Amino acid sequence: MHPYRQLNALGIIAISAMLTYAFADQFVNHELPCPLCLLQRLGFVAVSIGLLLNVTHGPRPSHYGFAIAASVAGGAMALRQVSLHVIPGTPGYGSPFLGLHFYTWAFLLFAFMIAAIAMISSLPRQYDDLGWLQWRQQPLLCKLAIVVITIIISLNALAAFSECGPGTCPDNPEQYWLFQD
Amino acid sequence: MIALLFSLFFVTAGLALRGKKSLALAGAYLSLFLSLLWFFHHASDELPILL
Repeated sequence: MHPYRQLNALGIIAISAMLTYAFADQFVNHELPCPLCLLQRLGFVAVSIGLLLNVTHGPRPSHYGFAIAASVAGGAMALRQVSLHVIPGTPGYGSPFLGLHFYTWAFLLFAFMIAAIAMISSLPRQYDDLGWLQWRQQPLLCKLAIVVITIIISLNALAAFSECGPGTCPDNPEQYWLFQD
Repeated sequence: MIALLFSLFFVTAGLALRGKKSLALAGAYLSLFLSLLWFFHHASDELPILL
């Protein structure tokens, strides 16, 4: 039932898992994300919105197009941060994960998503699955993806506000704006 | 500002869930455009490691 919507839901769940890990790292290891790190999280959220449109309204080239545009934007943000730390002897930002910093992983994942979405969007049969599905009509996996990404986006909004407040984030944040002395 | 951008994407997701496809897609592109503007603001910072 709606296999391509469920495939997009899987993509949303994978992105949510990544963002949850980054979120856990922020609170467990007390590593505050820098402005570019937060922008990369925004990039992942943007990609998930493209996939969410596929889940709610059926796969469409315009939805995949937005997801690819968001991946390119996110990749540019990650590459910018890689360029800040690429010179040998320059310390990276945050703790590495499996030998690479989060922003390097982010760049690789955005590049992977561009390729994956381009390939999946070229499969023609999915475009027969027309129309908006109400909540009760959605498959279980799609419901799960919708709930998870909604929670992740709202938690990130709250965390970003508590860290940066309404203005510009500091380049090297050391404490939360909301809880500063 | 970044919290506002997350909130914009949250509203966009809500529009998609309520069946407002055109509004959701327009909101998604607007949110992405504003995110890119904010990125350019940060990306124009000087590179201290090169100075």
